Amino acid sequence: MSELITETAEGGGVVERGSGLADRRLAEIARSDAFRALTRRKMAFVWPVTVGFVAFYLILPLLAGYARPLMGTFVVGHVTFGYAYGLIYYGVAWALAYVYVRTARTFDRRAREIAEHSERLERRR
Amino acid sequence: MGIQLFGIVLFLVIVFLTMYITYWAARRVKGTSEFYAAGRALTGWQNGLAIAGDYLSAASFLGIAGLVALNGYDGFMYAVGWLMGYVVVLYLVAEPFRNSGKFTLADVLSYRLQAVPTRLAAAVVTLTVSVFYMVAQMVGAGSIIQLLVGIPYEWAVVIIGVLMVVYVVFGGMLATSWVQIVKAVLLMTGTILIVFLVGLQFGFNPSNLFAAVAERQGVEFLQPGKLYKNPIDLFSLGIALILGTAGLPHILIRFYTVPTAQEARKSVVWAMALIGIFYLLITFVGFGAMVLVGPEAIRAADKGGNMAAPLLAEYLGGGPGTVGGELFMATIAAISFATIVAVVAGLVLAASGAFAHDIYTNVIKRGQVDEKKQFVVARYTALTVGAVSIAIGILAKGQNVAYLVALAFAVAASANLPAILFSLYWKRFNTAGAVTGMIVGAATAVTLVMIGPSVMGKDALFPLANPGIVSVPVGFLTSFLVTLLTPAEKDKEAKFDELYVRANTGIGAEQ
Repeated sequence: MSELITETAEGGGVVERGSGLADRRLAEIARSDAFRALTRRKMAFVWPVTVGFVAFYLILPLLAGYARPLMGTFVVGHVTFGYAYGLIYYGVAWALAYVYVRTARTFDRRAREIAEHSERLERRR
Repeated sequence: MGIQLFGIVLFLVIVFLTMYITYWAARRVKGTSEFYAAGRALTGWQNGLAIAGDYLSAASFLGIAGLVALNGYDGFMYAVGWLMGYVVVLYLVAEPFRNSGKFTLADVLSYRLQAVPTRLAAAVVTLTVSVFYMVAQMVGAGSIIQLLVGIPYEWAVVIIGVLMVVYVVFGGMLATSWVQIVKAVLLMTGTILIVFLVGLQFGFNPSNLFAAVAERQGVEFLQPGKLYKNPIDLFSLGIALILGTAGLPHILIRFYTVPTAQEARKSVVWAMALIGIFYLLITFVGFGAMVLVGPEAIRAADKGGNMAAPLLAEYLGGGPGTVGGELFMATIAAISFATIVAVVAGLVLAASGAFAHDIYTNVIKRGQVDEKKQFVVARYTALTVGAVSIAIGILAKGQNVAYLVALAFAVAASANLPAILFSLYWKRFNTAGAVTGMIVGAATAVTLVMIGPSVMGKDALFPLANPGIVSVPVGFLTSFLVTLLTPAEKDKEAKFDELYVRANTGIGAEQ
């Protein structure tokens, strides 16, 4: 039974059966310095930005709940601070999308280099 | 009479257009890859439009316009939250998800965890989330179509149900994607047109519109506090919205329809542009309806405010009884109808994948099913899911189910998101942590809603309508602590390394 389950885990997942070769290559890449450098840089970028943004977003309901006079103040004409502040979120979300796309291009380049290097190694075997 | 005819013609145009798409797609859907993932051949912008079409439900279009029209600022703040979750999707989930899975959410988790228990848990949570979402859509759809076109509730549910079943069973993800793309274009066009006409009245200056709001309805409609009396409840909803999007199965499976992680990235950016513009505009639809139609007239048509956008269209077209007014209202009604069918079709696909691909193919049959059989089972499952949804939709007539969408987001954030993030990023994570985290996270969210004010009213045992503030930390902590308290799966650590390489480089990903 346990044997069956293990097999399903391998075959029923996303790796096709008999992909032992690909598995070895992936394991090799996982150990390489180039891959580790890539993921370290990527994680140091994506996690702080995401966590920071979630925290920033949660300020909005808190202000709406606990700073009602501030949120109701008019800043320009009949536009309230609350509305203007809410608009900032759209700006920040779009700006972060732009920043991500820019930064991800450098990750793409590194990933391509890693893939090409691994293929060269494979051909030499 | 001629006007009613025009409304019927518009409905038929949408039905014929989507049926033609389905016919076109049906000849191309030859197996599970096309059925679940549109052959992974959509481009970034196509998938971006489809994500917007999948995400922007009637609750967004008619519901939020109504919330703003009746409550002012609080409705606007509610609208802000719906875009923000996509930052989490873009930064942490979309690309690794595209690179790691095949058809379902469970594919990603079971890659590095023990397949059978993880697939079962993920499939159950996917079904739960999709069914909650679906019931909310069906019940909303039934009453909205009844209001808009005057056909009985039951017939509205059956028509929508039969259409979505036909799209999915014959055209799979390919037809569903294009129905969603068409719907996104129609919805954006309709919304832009309404806002343009509102803008004409107010010199395209939001300040003039707000001034009219303050003058006619009172300045308190520009300030928070009309709708949400309890700040903690609002905060709790915010947590579910920003973290739930990245755990919604019907949105996540859309990333399998593109060929590479780069296209998945582009599709999120397109979706963020469209969804953001939509939510920015929908608040003007709401404020426009508040000023030009008036809350009393909107409430008289529907207590929940769902008629705000159609009534505004009627006013902008020339007013009740005029040809222009009736035509514009019929157009908005037809767009709402397209909106509903596109969303429910996406939900049927997500639910079918969880049952046919996860439970049947990989748990019951342990992966020992040939491609042809899998394809047949997938379509029968879609048929069954559709039939069950129609039945639930009819049974739930008259129930207040608006809270089910918020609950779906809360379950997605509390059960799916911890499992997804830990699977993709944490080597030590194990099966026990994933399974208990998913079950406890989902159960906490559901239980708190059942004992909360949405279901129990004034005698609620739990004071908040939104469970996120409790259930999200409970889901994450359970996954985390159970993992640390149970042994590491040494034999699976190599699989994590592989997954980590695939997720972050795309090497070895499904083509």
